[in-house]
Amino acid sequence: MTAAPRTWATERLDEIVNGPVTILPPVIQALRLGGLDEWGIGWIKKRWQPHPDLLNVDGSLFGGYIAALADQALAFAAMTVVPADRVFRTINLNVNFIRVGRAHPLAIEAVVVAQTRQMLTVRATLKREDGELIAEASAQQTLQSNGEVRRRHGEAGPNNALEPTA
Amino acid sequence: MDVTALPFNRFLGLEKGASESGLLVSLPPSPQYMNHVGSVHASALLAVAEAGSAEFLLRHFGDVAGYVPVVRRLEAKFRKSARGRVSARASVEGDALNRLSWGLRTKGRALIEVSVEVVDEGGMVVLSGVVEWFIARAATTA
Repeated sequence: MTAAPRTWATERLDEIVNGPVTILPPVIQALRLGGLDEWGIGWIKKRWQPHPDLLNVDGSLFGGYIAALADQALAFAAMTVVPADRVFRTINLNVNFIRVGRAHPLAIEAVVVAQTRQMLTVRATLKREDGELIAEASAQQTLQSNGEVRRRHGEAGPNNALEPTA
Repeated sequence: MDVTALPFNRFLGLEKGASESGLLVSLPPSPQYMNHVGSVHASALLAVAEAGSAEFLLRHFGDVAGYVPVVRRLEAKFRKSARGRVSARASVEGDALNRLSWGLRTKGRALIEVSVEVVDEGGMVVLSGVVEWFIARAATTA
């Protein structure tokens, strides 16, 4: 088994797996997206328990929220392989909702399915604990040098790039 | 029905847009939605996009009592960093609303694709996407 290279991203993933929820960025805490349970090169896993505040009156989960969960998982997967001198930016995200999500825990997994010098392609599944698929998602993320991102965006980075946002 | 009154949207702090602005819902600026670099996080943008598409359909159909709308697919392209208040506007192609009405009337179910854009307080389009809704007549009990 190949050990994961030490990068800003993999160090951050270890912090998230081993640290308290308070190390997550404020936006992640506010949205109650939670942290991460396990990761390896090219994959991540997490279990997520919905909070009652997040459910619709009929007990279903808001689709935009499932998309946010998927986006986070896809970003985590990217972080397992992003080179040390690079950051990534999600440029597109597609989510297919298969079944209505409800107040049950979700098993979320994401994998990197392709990697080039400039692009990552990642996929995620969100399943109930009995294995029923709730949603599947895919995204593409461009890889850029940190300096390039700063030049293009001034002091502001893209919406979900860079390590502390995950 | 009020989209901003849905539990998750209330939890998020979503607000209705002014009707004359063409903006359907918006999220006020708040540190809790920000990245460490001061732009609005993608997760918040996705929530605004979906809620905007829902509000668009509600404004055209009014009451959805007796129907169950669910999102089937969401596609989003992240275009720019978002600053300050973010708001959604939405549209559909051609006679999509008529086809939706026809499908509901004749089959009791229909699909509709709503195109949505999220703009920031500078008017920049920061996300563009499509939300596909499946709407079906609710099952009735005898």
